[in-house]
Amino acid sequence: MITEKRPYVAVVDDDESVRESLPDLLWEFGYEAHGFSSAEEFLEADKIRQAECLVLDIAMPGMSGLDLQRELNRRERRVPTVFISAHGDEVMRLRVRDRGAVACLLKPFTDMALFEAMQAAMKQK
Amino acid sequence: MQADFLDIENERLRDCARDLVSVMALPAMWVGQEPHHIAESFLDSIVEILDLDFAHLHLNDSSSDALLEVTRLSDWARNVAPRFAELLGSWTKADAHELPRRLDMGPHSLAVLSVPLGLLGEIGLLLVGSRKSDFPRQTESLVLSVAANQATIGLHAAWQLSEQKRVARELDKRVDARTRELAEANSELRRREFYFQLVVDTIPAIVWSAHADGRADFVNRHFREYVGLSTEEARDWVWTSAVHPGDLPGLIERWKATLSSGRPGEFQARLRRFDGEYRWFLFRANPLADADGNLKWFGACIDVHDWKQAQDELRDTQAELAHVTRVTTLGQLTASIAHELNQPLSGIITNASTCVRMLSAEQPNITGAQETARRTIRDANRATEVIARLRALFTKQDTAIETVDMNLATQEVIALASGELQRAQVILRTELSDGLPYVKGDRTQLQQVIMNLILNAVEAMEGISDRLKELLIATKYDEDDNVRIIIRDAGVGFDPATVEKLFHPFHTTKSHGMGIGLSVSRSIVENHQGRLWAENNDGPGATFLVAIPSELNDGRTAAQP
Repeated sequence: MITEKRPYVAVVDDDESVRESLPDLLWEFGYEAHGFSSAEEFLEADKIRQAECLVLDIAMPGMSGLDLQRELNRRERRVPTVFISAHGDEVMRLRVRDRGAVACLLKPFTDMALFEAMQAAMKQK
Repeated sequence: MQADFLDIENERLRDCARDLVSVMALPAMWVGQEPHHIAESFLDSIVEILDLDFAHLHLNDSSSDALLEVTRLSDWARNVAPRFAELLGSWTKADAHELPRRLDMGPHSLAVLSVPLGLLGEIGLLLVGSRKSDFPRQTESLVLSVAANQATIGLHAAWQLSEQKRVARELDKRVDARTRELAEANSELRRREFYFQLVVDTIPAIVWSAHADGRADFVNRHFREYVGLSTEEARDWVWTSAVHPGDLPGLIERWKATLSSGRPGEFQARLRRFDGEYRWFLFRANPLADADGNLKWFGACIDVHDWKQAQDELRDTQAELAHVTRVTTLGQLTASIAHELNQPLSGIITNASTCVRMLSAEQPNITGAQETARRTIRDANRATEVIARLRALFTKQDTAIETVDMNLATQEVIALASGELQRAQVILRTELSDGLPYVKGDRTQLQQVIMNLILNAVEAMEGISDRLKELLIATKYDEDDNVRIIIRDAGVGFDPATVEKLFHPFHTTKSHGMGIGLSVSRSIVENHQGRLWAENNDGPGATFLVAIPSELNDGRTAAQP
């Protein structure tokens, strides 16, 4: 079996349990994922080039997920992004999609919803 | 000749004896008479007995300065009266001894004799005169002096009598005056007594007094009419029959404790009205010691039924209001709560899904599955904790006094509000003081206050874009033994002129919400003998401060600095 290099996914969420659980699930989906507790930490980690997909929490202290997306656009680094949020409603979801997000998942979401969003992200790449 | 002389002498002596008997009888006639009457009777008697032409009695009335003068003149003497009048003026003033013994009165001469009344003439002076050449003969002198003595005795007695009468009259007058005064004082006393009785009976309260052992000895009309007992029935311990059976043991216990303390006391109990309805009364008793140190008790009972009912209603309303606020707060918190629950739920689903996938693989990853299952349990516990906290905060329950660690209570509220803080992009800073003493109170209510203040702060910073939305939550032990909770925002602040309006019910600056949060918060804090107030910051925003007396505070109410 040819060991294909797993696509690298960055998970940015201030909630520890999300940071712990999502990378394991994404591993099961065939990705290599790494968790960051804030947008600032992600930017400092210098993984921008490496990341093939971002999973971003919208509401975070300091720089929000949307701020981070804006910052990456500014740096002309467009990465397919899946937003996740615990506060969200449909209105917000549509707004986020309009800004070029692959998907916006409202917590708690099912593994299948994430799986489909990741597949869509990889297609967009 | 000798015999004639003897006969004549005998005759004279007999006459003299008869005259003396007459004279001696005079005082008996004078008993009870007035001095002037005695004087007149005396003069009439001696003029008749001694056949005098002139008799004048000049009395020194000891009871008054007035002179009493009585004169008797014979027909002859009356003819020469002007001369007598002339002479009398000088005689009465002159010493009796210097009087001329004989006065020439026209063709006759008048033998004049003065006899002092009383040893030193203190009673008066008697002047008598006669045309008879041998006047006064020895027998006449004798009769005269005896008569003068009798007059002295009679007048003296009369004066004494009249003095006694005067004294008696004076005494009567004084007794009358005193009696009148007493009667006036009595009627004044009765009037005042009536007035006080009127006051005591019409005062709109029950007024009573009791013996040192607690037995009632007086109750006013209000009490008697209220409970429908007679004056006699209301004495001693019978009044207790009007006390509500449920309140009686407590009342008696408190009353006896007050009695033995000898200090003013206060208690509440229901009294049965004559129609059977019970109403709440406030009993107040004050001791009063008389000069001998004997204690008596005086008291009043005031009908506080309506007031107490209003209090109860107010408490109910406050509880209702507090509940409404909790529910309102719950509405405001929905997003926050959803976030709080969504986080662990999200973890549970993700971990459980991962776990299933790890176990379903051709080569099951047992270690990974165990780890994800462990995380699932941890996240489920987190969700349970959130729900427990919510239930504590939003369940309607009666006040439960316990020892509260305000740091812990504050941290729990912060945990509940953290989702909301995050959503609103508020940067939270906490400065919870170490070694904070406990406070006594209702933990849930106090947490509700903190939650309200946090949500207010978040709201005050909504729409702020030119500065960081910083929120400081601090606890502090102040110099007055109070625990303070300080919530400082960087919001819009408030108008100092209308700061108190913030705390009025239904005052709101918000587009939604009922505006009762701060009002209820303040009443909760005040129920904890605390204070809740607001200050504008030096920079932007406002600070809300709560001060609750700590356990170390000896009962002083938290004061606003």
